[in-house]
Amino acid sequence: MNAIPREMRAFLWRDARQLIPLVAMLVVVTTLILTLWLFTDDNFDGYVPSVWIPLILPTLLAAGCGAILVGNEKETRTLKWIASLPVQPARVFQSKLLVATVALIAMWLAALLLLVGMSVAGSDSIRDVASLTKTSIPWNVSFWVVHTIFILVAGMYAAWRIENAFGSLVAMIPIAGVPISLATISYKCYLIASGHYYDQESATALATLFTLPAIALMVWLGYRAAIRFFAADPPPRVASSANESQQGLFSWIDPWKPPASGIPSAKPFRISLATLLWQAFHQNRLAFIGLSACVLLGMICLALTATQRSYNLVGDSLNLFWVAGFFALSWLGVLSFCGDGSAKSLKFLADRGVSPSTVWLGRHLMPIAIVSAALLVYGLSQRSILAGGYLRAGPMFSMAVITAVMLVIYGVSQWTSMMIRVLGGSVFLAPLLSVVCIGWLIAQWTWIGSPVWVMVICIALPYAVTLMLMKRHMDDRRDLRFWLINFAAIAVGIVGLPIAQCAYQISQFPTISESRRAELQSMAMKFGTDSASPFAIMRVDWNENDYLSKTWDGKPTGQQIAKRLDAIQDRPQDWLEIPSRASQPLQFDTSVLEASIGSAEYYRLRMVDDPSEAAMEQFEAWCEFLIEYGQRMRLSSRLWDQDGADEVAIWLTHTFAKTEMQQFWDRPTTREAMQFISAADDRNEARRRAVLESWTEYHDNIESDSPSRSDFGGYYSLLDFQSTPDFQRPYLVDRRMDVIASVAIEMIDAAENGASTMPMRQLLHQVLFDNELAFDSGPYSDRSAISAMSPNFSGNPNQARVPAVKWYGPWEQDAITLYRSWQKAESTQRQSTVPEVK
Amino acid sequence: MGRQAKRSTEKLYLIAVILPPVLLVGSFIADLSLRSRAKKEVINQVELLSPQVRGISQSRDRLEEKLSPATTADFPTADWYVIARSGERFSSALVHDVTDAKELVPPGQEWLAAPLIEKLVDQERPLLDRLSQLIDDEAASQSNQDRQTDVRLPLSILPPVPTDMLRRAFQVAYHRGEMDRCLKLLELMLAAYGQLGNPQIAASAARHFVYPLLKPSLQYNVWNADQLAKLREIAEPLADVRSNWIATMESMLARKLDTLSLDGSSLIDGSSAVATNDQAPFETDPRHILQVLDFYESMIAAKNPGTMQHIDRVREIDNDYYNHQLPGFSLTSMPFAVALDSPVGQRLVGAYRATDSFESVIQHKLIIAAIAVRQYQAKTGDMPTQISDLRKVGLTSEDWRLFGSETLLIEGSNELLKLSTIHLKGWLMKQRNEATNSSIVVPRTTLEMWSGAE
Repeated sequence: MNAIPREMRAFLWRDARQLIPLVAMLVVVTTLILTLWLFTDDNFDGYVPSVWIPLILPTLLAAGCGAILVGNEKETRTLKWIASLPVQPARVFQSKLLVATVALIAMWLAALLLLVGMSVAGSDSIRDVASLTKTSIPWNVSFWVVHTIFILVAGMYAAWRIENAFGSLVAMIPIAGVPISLATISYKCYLIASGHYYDQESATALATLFTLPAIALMVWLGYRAAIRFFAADPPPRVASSANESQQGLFSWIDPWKPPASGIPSAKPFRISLATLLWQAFHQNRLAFIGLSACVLLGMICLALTATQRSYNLVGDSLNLFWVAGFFALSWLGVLSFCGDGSAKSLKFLADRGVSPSTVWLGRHLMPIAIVSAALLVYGLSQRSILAGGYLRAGPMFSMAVITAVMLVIYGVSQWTSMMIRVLGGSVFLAPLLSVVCIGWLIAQWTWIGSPVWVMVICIALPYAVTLMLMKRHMDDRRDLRFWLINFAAIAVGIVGLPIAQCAYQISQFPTISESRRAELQSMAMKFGTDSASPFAIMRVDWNENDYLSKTWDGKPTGQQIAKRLDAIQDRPQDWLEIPSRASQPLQFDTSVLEASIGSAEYYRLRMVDDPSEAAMEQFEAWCEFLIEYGQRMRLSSRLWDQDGADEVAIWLTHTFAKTEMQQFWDRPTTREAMQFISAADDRNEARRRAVLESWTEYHDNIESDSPSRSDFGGYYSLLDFQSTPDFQRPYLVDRRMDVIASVAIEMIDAAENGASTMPMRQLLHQVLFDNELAFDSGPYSDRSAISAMSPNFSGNPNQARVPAVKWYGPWEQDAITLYRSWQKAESTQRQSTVPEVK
Repeated sequence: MGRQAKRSTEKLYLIAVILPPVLLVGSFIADLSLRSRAKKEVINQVELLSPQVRGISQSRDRLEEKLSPATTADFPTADWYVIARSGERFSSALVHDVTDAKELVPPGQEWLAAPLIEKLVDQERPLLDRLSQLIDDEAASQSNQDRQTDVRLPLSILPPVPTDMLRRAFQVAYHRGEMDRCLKLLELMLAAYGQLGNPQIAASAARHFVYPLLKPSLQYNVWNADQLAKLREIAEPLADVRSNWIATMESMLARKLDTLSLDGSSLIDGSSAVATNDQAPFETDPRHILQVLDFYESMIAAKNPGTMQHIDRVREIDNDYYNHQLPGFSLTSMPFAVALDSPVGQRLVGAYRATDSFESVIQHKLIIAAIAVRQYQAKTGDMPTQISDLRKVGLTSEDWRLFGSETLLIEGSNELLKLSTIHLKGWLMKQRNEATNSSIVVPRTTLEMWSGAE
């Protein structure tokens, strides 16, 4: 340690201290992006390579070191003070280079640790850290290590060489691309000359090879620039002739001349808005003009990108220009409160009591004018592109959207520049934070479902905060309150408000109280959850045992099928494999039920035409099967199967109510049918059990993370939310299921007590079709309930089935009426057949 | 002087800075104002349109009432639905698996599917008798008001007519040579669609279900003179192209309105009202809706459907829309400047439908000419040698003229006559490619007609 000279130790300590804010900012930003990545991992992994997140740390540090260690010191003129001290300039250069290198090594270690952590966490983009050293250039970690060293020394050189800090930062961007561009051009020339194919490993190796000497060159150039900076200023040239004096060169007598205007102005200092505008513009005139031109050009190119010219050289250039426009806009925002002499000029205005809001307006009016002009240019370009017809262009964002995006970029950037007064920090952080903020707004729109007013607040907040803090900024007061306001605006306004609004939206979705949940749970306990799982009815495979041989086209002949039909009686067991145990619940299969009703109807019509014993037996075989099917679906613990049982009951009610069927009312099958359709209490009990068991099973599956959790009592469609944002869905699904269960039980209770079921049906409609379908058009309307037609015909054909649609519809009253008529007819018949007792 | 110059510079600075934001805000305000005016216009136009669109709903409601009464007491002895369901039992589903099940095989030729189809048809005969009875009852009970109401039900809502059952019966009757039965079945099929829907449904049904049976049946000399005269009667009034075109366009418009979240449009799917998605600024730009309404209005008004001029006009409307208009260009739309929800997806549908209309006319002419060929044969004992021979059985040149100089053609021998027509889509494709390749032969579709019964 003693080997290091004393002044060198002081420089090292001083430079290290200067880098601390940049390191802290990078850590905060990386943590923020990492947090967002963790939240959006499932959605964006694969689209946004997560390998870039750890790379932020070393890359931005390398790019910012020059601006912080040299540019900032030039702006504050502390380097000039150092130059006046009796120290060797080389020591100053060495100290800064050493501190920057050590910081870069530290950042790389942190980045590699992060990469390892993320690969352990299982990111799709980083399966194996070691493999990242073998990929092509943008993701090749070993190349990045070398390249960040080059960026670091290039940044240092630019900062030493160029007086203007912002200019040095901008100049660094093309310098950073020189080695890789030279390597690419050389490699492509080599490929053309040799006829070889592109090999990414060779390309990466060549780029590294070009970068290594470039590093040495930049260090040497930087050293020279530093030495030149510390060298004494050349003496002013003295005019040796009258001619030269006329050209503006001083002569030795000039300083002693009296001023040209002897009388001071009556109003020496005017604080009008125009003056402030003038000052804002002239303070960074070159930068301002350059950035404005970039923004305007970027907007034209953005409009042109929609002309479907992408994937070629022109399209790529357009993309390059609008990306440049994005950076330019962000830096325009940065220049509002940062930049050469900005702090001094603001302090100057503060000292003269100029209103902070006037100064704030003065700093923003010019960039806002540029943004507005750029938007008008965008609108006009867009209009002229589309004037030739829609087919000339692909989708292009409207001016309103681009306005919002530009306001976000500019707003976030100017806020960043107020928080981080170091130009080097703001210049790199502002575009990054703008992108994060745009991403957050897009997420609000598409994923969280924030309303427009929330997004407007998020866009306006950065402006409101800088206006509020303008006075402190002008006074250069960065006390606790300053940071608290900034923190509160981010935490409450930008992050908290959309989440709170989303939480409010979720809370407005119907749900059940804890007491109701407990009540449902206790009801479910009474039934228990040990019901047998319902079995599916399988179709008999006629191809089994090679009964049907195939023809040339793979299909049987009519003769073969007809023979098979002759061999069977066309009874249910000829077509279906029905589980034999009567207590075994069955699953509702729509195609089986439709075809069975078709067969039953066919034989019923035959029987009505010819009421022979054989015809009756055939009808009764199908009818008895349907009754048994209905009964065994009633045994099921799934809501879906209960609704299948209802379809059977509806068919039986309509069928046996027909006048022509009254002649068969004395048959045992009719008795069975009547018992099935009239058993309202059993039906209610079965529905109640199915609701509670479906609900309990749904929650059990969620807790056990079972793969079968995607249904509720056999209904898969209940988990679909058509227009609900993705983020809200997981929170709404459970609420929806709870409400369905609770309302279904309420409906059963209401029907048992003779009350109307309309309020329950309305609530079911609300939780399933809110904002998507009017109640009268939905499946729970009266119109749908009275319809005996199949749901495919009576409702929207694309609409999925939903539970309890036919519960307590008019058919249930019809069933009771029919049962009473049948009972009456049967008792009359019994009386007429009983022999008269004398 | 200096101060004045300074002040004018100040003013210049202020104007230069304030003008762009003022222009920007002004253009947004102007856009929103135009948007609001267009919205009122849309409401008026949709109000005017609603009777036509609601007609679809009324027609559908009447059908549903007829098929599904509110209570069991209202159920008729046998209803349409029961017959349709009976045709969908387990055994009837087997036909899909059988070789040659969909072929129309003339008498005397081997038909591999015959044993099964005949068995099913024998089983289903009582069902068809009931259907026939049901149609007679409906015809007797239907009020005049129902008949007079001109409402159009889109084909997407097909009434439960047991078409498969009727087709099977026709196949078997044809194979057995029972041509009177065949004729009766064709009439039954048309009557079923006519009674449940309306004349437009019957016309569409003819194209979809009757022509595919009638056309191949004319390949052999199996119909007698009386039957052929009856077939002419059945086939001649079917080509109500104008009504079909209007019904098709109104149906497309109704669906379009549905996607634009306008009340009254999802009537097609059985809803009487739709919840509107009216949360500005995410609604569809009303100026775009006006363009869509104008687009369909022009389509509906396009004259002479079923002609080449009509196809050209429809293409013109298409081109005008896509190449010379900004589809709902707006500064304030979210998120895109132009409506992506324009009828872009249906771009070819207009021209396709117009071609389809013309194709239906051409097919209709082919069917009439084919019946006339058989009538000529019945009258003279020989097959005609040229198309003008059909004047003898009451056809005029208008009946075989297609468009321009193109007509139906008769070629071949007395044994095998080939009646051919232009293949319209192929012809249009040739026309499109003529500039680059003039050697393309005009494609034709041919109906081979044998002089004998086998």
